[in-house]
Amino acid sequence: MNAELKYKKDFPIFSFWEEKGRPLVYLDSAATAQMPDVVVAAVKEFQESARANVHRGIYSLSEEATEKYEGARVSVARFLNARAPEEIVFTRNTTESINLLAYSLGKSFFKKGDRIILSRAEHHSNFLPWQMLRDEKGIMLDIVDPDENGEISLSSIEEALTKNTRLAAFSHVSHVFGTINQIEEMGTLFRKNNILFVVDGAQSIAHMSIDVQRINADFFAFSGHKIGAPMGIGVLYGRKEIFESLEPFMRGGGMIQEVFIEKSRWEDIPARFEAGTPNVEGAIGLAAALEYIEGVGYDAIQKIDRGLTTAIVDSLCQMPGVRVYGPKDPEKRGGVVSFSIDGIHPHDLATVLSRDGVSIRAGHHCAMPLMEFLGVPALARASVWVYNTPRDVKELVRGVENAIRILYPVTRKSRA
Amino acid sequence: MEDFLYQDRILDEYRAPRNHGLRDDFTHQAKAANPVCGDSIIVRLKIENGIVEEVSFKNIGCVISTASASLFLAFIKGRAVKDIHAFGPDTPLSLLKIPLTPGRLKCGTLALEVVQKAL
Repeated sequence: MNAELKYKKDFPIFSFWEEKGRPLVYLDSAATAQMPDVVVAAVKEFQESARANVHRGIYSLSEEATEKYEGARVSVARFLNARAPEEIVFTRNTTESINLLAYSLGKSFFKKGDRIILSRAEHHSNFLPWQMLRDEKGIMLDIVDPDENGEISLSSIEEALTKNTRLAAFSHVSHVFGTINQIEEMGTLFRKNNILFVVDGAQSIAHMSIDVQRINADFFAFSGHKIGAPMGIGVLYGRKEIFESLEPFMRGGGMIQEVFIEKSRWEDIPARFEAGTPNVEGAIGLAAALEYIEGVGYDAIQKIDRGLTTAIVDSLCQMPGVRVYGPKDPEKRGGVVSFSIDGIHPHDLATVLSRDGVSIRAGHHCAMPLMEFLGVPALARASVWVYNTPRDVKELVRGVENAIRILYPVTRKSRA
Repeated sequence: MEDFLYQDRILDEYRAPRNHGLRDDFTHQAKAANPVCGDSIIVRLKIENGIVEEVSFKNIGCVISTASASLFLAFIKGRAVKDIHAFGPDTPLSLLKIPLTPGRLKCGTLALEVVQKAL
């Protein structure tokens, strides 16, 4: 078999479109990754053989569902090198994980005048929850700017720290620049200064091994759908000592020890943060996705990432009027390449590419403060994962050349 | 209706939009933006006796929103304000004569929005 297709064949969506005569050139995995067949099978198996509510039934089917659900938690804990499964809370996605955290920390942890440090390059989901705390709890935000290569220097973080800084929220890998941030060094710095460290792992989980203890993360959030798991399942890892001290985010079934009309007592973690029937098939699919990634290995994934992103950067840089954002050093880049073309709106580019079967992201990437900072209305972004091949890069390059040919503006002159 | 958005008729409007560049003689002005795209537009209208006598605009935007602004502003010139108030999204879209996907519809209607805001 063609070595390039080694992993592509594991993802049924590609053969589906191939057979329809419209092969998919999918370069938007940073938004949502495709699902491998083993995950499809795991979810299907659960629905067909073990579907029941968890933690409720006394009957064997419910016990089996519970076992699978809790088994998924153990898998995630092992995958992240958490110290215990209780440190893993299932959520819908990264967004819910960070909102949960901000809400719960806002209840008891923060006091007026405390400060939070974060970067201008954060996704809105790692900015808005903290902005909410600023507006509602009188907390101040300190914003660190990336440099011209989309990198955040440790010295700029150190300069922005104050004695009132109590939390730091940074993405592990930037969803716009692709920068792999110096998360380990940041973690050491924040731990030394007794600052809670929240890591948005949405863009790293699919591309590099995560060890929450090594990076000194107090919290680590990610979404399942970015690593081939179903949509609607996400994770919030939290260091036990801190997690245990927090108030619940949502209240309802499954998260209480006892309820009286006058007062109630909450369950221990992780149940305290999982009110209502959880996404059991999502958790099972997530465990299967992690197993798939372990089978491929992060070394292989990074080799693919690096080869393809370098090829994309090199090709785009040779085109007239194209500007590529992010680190110059390929070692510092994850699976993301954002770019702009003088005089061509990214939405027009994406529409022309779509006609050629090439899927890229175009827009503000849920990072409007960063777009303003860069002075662009929007950017185009190509992102890769394990199934992408040099052929995909060729199609992208051909598509961009075609788009430039069609769209390139002559000097704009007004007609009467 | 041709299926390809970027046909010459549309690209011509984009490359040389009519009434582009803000005029100093105006009576009404408005700004609008489509934050999803990062698009923004300013229109200036000169209205006399309930009739739009002059139009001009300036924008940052994609091919579709620029072409739509060019076509729509040329279309309303000389028309009665009360008629323009009655226009819905179909008016600018029918001037474009291209099929827009749901994600691009707003590009085709931003000009209508800003004009109605100015009136």
